[in-house]
Amino acid sequence: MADILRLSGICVLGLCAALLMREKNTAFALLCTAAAVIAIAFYILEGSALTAVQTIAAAAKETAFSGYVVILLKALGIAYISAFTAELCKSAGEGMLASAAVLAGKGELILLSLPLISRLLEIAAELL
Amino acid sequence: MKTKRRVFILLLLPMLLLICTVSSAAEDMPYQFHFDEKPEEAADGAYETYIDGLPPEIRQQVEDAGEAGDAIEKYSVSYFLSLVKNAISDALLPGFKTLSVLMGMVILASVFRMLSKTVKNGSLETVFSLCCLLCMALTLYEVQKSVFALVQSMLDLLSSTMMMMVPVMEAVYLSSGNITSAAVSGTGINLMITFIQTLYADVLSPCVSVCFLLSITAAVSGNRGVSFMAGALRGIVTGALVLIMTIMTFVLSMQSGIASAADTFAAKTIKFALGSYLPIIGGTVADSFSMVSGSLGVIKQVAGVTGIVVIVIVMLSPLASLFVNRLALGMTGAVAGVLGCDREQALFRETGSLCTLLLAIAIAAAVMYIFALSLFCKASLAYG
Repeated sequence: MADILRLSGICVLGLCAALLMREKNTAFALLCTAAAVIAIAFYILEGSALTAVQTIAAAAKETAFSGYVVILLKALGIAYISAFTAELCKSAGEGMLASAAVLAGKGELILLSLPLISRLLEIAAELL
Repeated sequence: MKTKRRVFILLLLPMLLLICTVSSAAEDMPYQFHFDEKPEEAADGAYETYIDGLPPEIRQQVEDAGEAGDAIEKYSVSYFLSLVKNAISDALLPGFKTLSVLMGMVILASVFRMLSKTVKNGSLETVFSLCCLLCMALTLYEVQKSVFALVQSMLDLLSSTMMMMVPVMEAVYLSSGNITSAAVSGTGINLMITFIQTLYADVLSPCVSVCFLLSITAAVSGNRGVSFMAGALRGIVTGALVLIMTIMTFVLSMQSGIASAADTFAAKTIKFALGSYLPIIGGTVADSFSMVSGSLGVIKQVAGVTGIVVIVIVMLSPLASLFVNRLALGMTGAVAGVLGCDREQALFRETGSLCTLLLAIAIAAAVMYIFALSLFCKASLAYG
């Protein structure tokens, strides 16, 4: 309950700052919005997101999936961060930067999947 | 003088070569006839050797019935039902473990799928799904690779027990005058064992592996054409298996029938000759063959039934494990469908079909061996 109140407070502060700055300087308004969004993102990452990741990792520890949960959690983090950055850039009117952020995220995901693909090829060689 | 010596040496050398060849071939023969040994004792000795050669866990379960009455009492329906019950109860606990692992995989996959839908970027979601499916496929292989090894070990054990049965069959056939049947059955069964082993190692096992890889590709790519190819390959393998079984059962039964008829004709001719041309005792000697045949018939039935029971014992446990594994995959696929994991459901469905194919291969091999032993039990003895 306290966490959601803090997050709402940061959002409202950022909104007020953005509205005040918009009249004087639009660029500063965007910066205020971005700062509020980044602060919320860091707060979530260090708080509830970390707890959720630890819970899922502990749940998967005794299963046959345990070796791959770390990879999937990393992939999910990469996907979230890329999508978040892309949305931020789009809202600032920088479509090219947004596309670049998405492309970087996809590249990182494919790099993360490469050991899985090579393991699959090893299995194919073993079976055949 | 010199010419006579040369002729003598020329005659002696081939005789020495012939003796060496015959003695080396005699060492390779699984059964040797001794003039002072009674035919039923020789056959019984071969049967005892077969029982002693079985693996200890199978020998404990096989109750060696010394008389026909005991065999009928011991190998009853309740005995076989108890074997089935024990096999299923032994397979249930590992099956539940497999089911729990697979269910855990599906639940985690559905959690990650739901989380990926919150990313709100189509291309990132697609790449993340690919990553998730690769993890699922690799985990499924780790869980299922023991199933491939199980079928291989079962076929190896079946083949080795059947190979041990061949000398018993030859001993009984030879002791009872079924010389043609001995040669035909020994050769036929050895050929069948070698053929089944080669067929599995060189054809069926690679086909099953290709089907598994195709099912993973179909699940990862979402391409229905690849899934169709995997299904078509499974259909071809099943059809080829049915055709091979049909041909082999036809050949075995035809060979057994013709050889048995030839041996019976030869024995009847000998008995008639003995009865007609031996004065005073000819009829008694001819009748004594029937008495010997009676005791050999008992050994034949006991050996044949014991061989079938051994094959049933060997095949029950792996078949129960395969069946429970198949059930676990089916249930997990259904749960994956309910949770909205369509590609995971397709992966589990294809792997379940592979499990069914492995079941079919294992059952086909066991049925072939049981059929061969049934022909042995059914074959009439020449002196009877």
